[in-house]
Amino acid sequence: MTTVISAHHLHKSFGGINAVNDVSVSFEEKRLYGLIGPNGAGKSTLINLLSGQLSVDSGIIEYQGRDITQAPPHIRSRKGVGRTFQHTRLTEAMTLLETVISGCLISKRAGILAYLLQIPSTRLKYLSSRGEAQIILELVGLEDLANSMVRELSWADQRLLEIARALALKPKILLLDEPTAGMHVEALPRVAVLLKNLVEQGLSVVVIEHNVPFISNTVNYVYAMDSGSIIADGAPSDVLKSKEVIQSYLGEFHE
Amino acid sequence: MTILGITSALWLTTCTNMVAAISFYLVYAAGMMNLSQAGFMAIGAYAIAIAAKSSVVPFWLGALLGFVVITTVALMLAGITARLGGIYLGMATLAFIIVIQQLIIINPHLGGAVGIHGIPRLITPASALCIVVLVSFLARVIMKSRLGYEMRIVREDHIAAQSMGINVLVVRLQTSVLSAWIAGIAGAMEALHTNFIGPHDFGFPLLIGILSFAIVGGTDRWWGPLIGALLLTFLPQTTRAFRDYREIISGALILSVMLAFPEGTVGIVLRLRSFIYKKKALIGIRSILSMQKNEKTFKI
Repeated sequence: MTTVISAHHLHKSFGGINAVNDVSVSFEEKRLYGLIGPNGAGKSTLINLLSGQLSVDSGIIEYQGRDITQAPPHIRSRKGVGRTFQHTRLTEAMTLLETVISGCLISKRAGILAYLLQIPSTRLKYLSSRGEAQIILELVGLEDLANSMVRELSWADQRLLEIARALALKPKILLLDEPTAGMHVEALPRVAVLLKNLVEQGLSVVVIEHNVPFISNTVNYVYAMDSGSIIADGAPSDVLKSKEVIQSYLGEFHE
Repeated sequence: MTILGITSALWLTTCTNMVAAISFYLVYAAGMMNLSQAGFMAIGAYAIAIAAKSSVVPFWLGALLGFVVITTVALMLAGITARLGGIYLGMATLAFIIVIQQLIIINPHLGGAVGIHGIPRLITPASALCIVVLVSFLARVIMKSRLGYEMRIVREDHIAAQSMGINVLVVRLQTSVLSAWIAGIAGAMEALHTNFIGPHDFGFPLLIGILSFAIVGGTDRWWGPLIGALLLTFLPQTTRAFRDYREIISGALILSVMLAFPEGTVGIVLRLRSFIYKKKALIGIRSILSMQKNEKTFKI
């Protein structure tokens, strides 16, 4: 099983606070990972380091064997590191189809001057983007709303659209920051099924999650963080029973 | 000379304003509060004016040089202001306009503070309209291309744009250069229909004028500032009685738009469209329901 991203000894501090303290993780394809921990543990910071929104103080990040530690975020996205954010960052004035089409066009590097001159190969890129966007929306379950405006969507659908947009760039790894946060309980199975589908198709998916049942039922492997370090990692059943993890969520246990 | 009762001078001014409005729209659509259009209009105007008047420099060479200067200056300006956003970018580009004005004033070859007289009138209402149509077409194509999508995403959220593989700096550079070219065209149009240009034509009042086209017209679509330019150039001039009060009329129009219709004419048109669409849908649904009702009671 090939490793998509491996990170070694990452450090990141803000002022005096060690947000990420000597963290090493490894993500393989076709597996679904959970990243858990209390608020402020450094989970989002770790994701930001991997996707490039923040630069590491020290440490190495490798993508498919190549060092991407210095690569800017847009290059990492183009190479296949996809991500979503804790607060949706969607363009409100577009339709769903347009949102995903924009992702397809970017990944195909469809030229602008070529579009102006209507060069056939570029026209093909623009036309095929439309079809691809439809397929991606079907994958995510939003095909009925393809022509609605983003601002009309429910929260759960917006979160799914963000995943769809990230998929348009054909990522090899998806870093999802609390995809189910704020979702109605009934929407959760849809997300679980989608993530399992994606993993089966070869992606590596990493999910930051607070929802414990969701983690234990869907995820293959869990990393638990607290105060910037990884305190446990392994199969969900083991990690969720570990003393350190329970303490990190619930505090010290006194007899 | 009048066409449809409107002087050719007014047609030409309107066309120039429409092109300038499109120039502003492009940078605004990418989320940049870039107010430098007046400066690039000045460069375009002076380049064309000198070429048109000169017996040494052929016209096409002047246009080409103007194009090269505009491209270079636009890239430099965008590069320098790359890390600025919002009001700071506005201030920096405002300073740019003043710098251009001052460079013209201190340069005797450019006519200094007095300006350039006697520029031949080489543009007609027909050719001006052609230019407006071409530039509009260009704007529309840009917005429908990958760059248009990238611009909108960068405008909404430049961090999300990065995670989408968009090189935010490159998008801003491309948009700034395109906007500067179009502003240069507007400046050239201005020079070729008004006999005289001076540095004071390309300063703060022009900037406010362009902004007001965008406010009144609406900035959600590419044709918004175009309509705004049309309204704000025509309306105050059409009624002879009001002509003296045209500044007050413009001001009142801008104020009422900001208070009552902040989305501008774009907002009005889009609401009208969706209203009509809903009415049609409602009529469609009602007719289907009534047909169904008739089917049930119809007996052969």
